[in-house]
Amino acid sequence: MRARWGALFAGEVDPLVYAALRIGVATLVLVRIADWTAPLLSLDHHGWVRGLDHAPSDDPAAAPALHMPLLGGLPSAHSTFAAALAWARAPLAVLVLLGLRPRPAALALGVSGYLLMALDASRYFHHLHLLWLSCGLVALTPCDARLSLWPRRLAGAPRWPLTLWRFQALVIYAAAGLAKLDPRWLDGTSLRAIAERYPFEGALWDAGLGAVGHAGMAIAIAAWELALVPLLAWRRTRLVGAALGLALHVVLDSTTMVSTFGASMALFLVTFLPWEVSRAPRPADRTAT
Amino acid sequence: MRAGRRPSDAALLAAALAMLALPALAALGVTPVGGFRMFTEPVRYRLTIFEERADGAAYQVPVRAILPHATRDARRVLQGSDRLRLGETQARLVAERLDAIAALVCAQDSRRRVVHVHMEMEDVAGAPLPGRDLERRCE
Repeated sequence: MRARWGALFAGEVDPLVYAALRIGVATLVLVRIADWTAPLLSLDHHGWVRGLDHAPSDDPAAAPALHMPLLGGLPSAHSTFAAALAWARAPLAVLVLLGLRPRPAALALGVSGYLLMALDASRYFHHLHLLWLSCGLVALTPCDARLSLWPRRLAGAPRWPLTLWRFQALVIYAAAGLAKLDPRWLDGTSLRAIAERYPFEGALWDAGLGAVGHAGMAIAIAAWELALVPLLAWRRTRLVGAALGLALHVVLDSTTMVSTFGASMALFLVTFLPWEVSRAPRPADRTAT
Repeated sequence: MRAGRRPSDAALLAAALAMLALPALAALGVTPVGGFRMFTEPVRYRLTIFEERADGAAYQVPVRAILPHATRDARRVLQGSDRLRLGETQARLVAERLDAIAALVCAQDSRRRVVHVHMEMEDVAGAPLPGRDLERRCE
């Protein structure tokens, strides 16, 4: 058992995967924390974000301000502390993007994001939680060995951070799928209610609804998410799982507002590509045995 | 240069358990934060606020009166909640922080002596869920 556990984390992978995750996460952060892409693209968060998201200067409130932190003891969402956190995210994300001290920068970025979210109980979104969690996972990786301004010379990248990324993806699909094994979801009640309140649209949604109705769509989504767990976990079916996972997010992104969730999950799916490398043993390895 | 040493098995196990912790707590109904229970927990909710004044008069405070004092995200959750409206995770989290709403309503008008805040919730099938009630004496 212990040997199998160890084998999950042992070995080396192509450092390119960590560079790709670093660049992907930093880009998503830069896109999501502000509305600067609005003239170029129509993204979900442009519907409610004006200027720099969570920056007090771009989200003014009349005095006395509602102080409703997720956890007691945190300062106001309109404080100087909040402003500093909000403005710190952009330069930190640029450091991560360029690969300049990316690990501490990614960690600081994740902490800033979580703190800003915790300053107001109404700021919690699953896609933001996933984004800041991804920053924390980037901080675990040797992500500056490729595609960075000054690449760190690294002969091999360890596999254990990749295993953690993969495990996190499995947890997310399992949590989403298991939560849908609820009668109110499976009979279509929850999906119908959500679709009446929030925009659910597009050719795929219309076709699915016409063919199987809300209950059929709800069952299909639950089955899809649950199927991804074994497909991604088993090495032989990983590529099929990654393709089906990507397809799920394309369908969801084209149907309703999930903001950066689909793009974040696409990065997680990238980790299931065959990044493992087999390395010829070095002299030191041979003498050690 | 080679990559650093692998963390111990105990540290890796702790990391894996940490990834499971919030989804497990969400499944147990402890907190919706980090549960990744996508689209599965819609609730209908209604927020009612009453004030009592020193002379004994009681008035309903419209939710729109607190909106200018809220963050943009809070306004999205609170707006229109005088009547039953649909929400998800944020509505459940705000329901846990009615003390903050009561404190704001107290601070808005010095004539207020007591503020009552009630969050009524039901599931999408119309079954009532445990609501939240809070009474705050204004200083």
